[in-house]
Amino acid sequence: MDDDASHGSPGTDLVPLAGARVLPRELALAADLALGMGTRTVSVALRLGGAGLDVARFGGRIASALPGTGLARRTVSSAVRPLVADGQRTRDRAVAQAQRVLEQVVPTIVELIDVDAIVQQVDADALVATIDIDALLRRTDVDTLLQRVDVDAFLAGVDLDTLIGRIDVDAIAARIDVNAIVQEVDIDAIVEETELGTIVARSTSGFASEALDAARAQTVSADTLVARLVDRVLRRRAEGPLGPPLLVGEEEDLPPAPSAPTTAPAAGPPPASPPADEPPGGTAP
Amino acid sequence: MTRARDALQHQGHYAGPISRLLAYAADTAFIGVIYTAGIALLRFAVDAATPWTLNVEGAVFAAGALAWSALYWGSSWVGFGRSPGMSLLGLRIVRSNGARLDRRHALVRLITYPLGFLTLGLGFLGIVFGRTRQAIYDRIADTAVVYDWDAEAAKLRELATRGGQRRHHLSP
Repeated sequence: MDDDASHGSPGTDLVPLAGARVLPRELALAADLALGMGTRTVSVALRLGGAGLDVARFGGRIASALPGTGLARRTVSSAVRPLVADGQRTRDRAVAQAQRVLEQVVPTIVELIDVDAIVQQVDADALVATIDIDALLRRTDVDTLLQRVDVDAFLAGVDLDTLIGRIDVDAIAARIDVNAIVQEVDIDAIVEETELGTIVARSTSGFASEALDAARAQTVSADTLVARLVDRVLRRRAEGPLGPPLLVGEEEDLPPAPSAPTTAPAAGPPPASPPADEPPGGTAP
Repeated sequence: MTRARDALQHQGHYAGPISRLLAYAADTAFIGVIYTAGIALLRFAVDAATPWTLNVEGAVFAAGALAWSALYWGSSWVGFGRSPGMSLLGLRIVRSNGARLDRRHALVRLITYPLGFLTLGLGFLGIVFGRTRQAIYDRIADTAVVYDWDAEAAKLRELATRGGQRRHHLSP
């Protein structure tokens, strides 16, 4: 390719091949006239030829019905066959030559086309605006499309470590109200309904422990019964203190104790103040 | 029937007369069994090892029993805040405000403990009729007795046992 080829507007002007010369205007007009006349002549000749072919076919049919036609056909055929063979060879050579020319010319033409310049001139927005996305989606079989998606291959290409590393777990955890979740958990039901309870029972209990639990629970029940009976006999209406202030969560004016016993503060209503009518020493009146 | 789940609500509350009476009975049994066994063992050892015979009877036996009882209760109260009988029933001695029992108040309680008997039992009536379930020696020593057994574990044990029994009945 000549250096002048790079001076033209890429993709818009075809650069003349090396060695080609530009024709003068008058000569170009004469050539156009000759081509136009030739084209018309060929067109008329083809029409006349077509009509002559029809007449010849008709004449052939009539002639084939006459006597001696077979001999004449064979004679003509033997005379024409070498001519047909020569014509066929000439046609094959012409086609092969045309193919070679095209193989050289077409890549050159393709190289001359600047695809980037063509793409730059395309108004992509206007092109997209002409597309009816809704209609396109309506015509799209999403299920079939999804079935063709290889999810395993997609996941195999995902770097989970990097993905997880970009997640701020602390921020997510900070937004979770763990206390609210824990309050919703029914520990008793979990222990009672799952094997976890069996594990707890096996690890913490034996027959003696269960018997002791039952005996202690029974004595607590008996104590409660006696307390109700005494309250009824003494006609007490106000409920007394349930336990020592530090164990039932009641504030007291006493100085803080050095250390509290292992007993956890029990849940329950705050104890009332001791009655004024209690006898000294805690004994009955 | 009061289940362990319900008893859990009573932890830290003043212990009632039945629990304390049973704890006292258990302690008395322990004291008696250990004392008589100890005396018998001592007598056997003296008889076997020496030419003398050990006769622990009457006042000597009573004085020994009294000393052994004081040692039994005093050491357990000072050391653990509860006697073996109280451990069995899940009771604990604390200060009247709920603080841990210290050595001084434990000793005061031990010294004044006989007042319950010396008052012909009147000193114990506070356990039954008092709001804070304090006997006379508790009043003097500024102590109280509360429920303090591992009711949380007992509740879990009870739930687990009940759930296991139900699953056993449902299984083919």
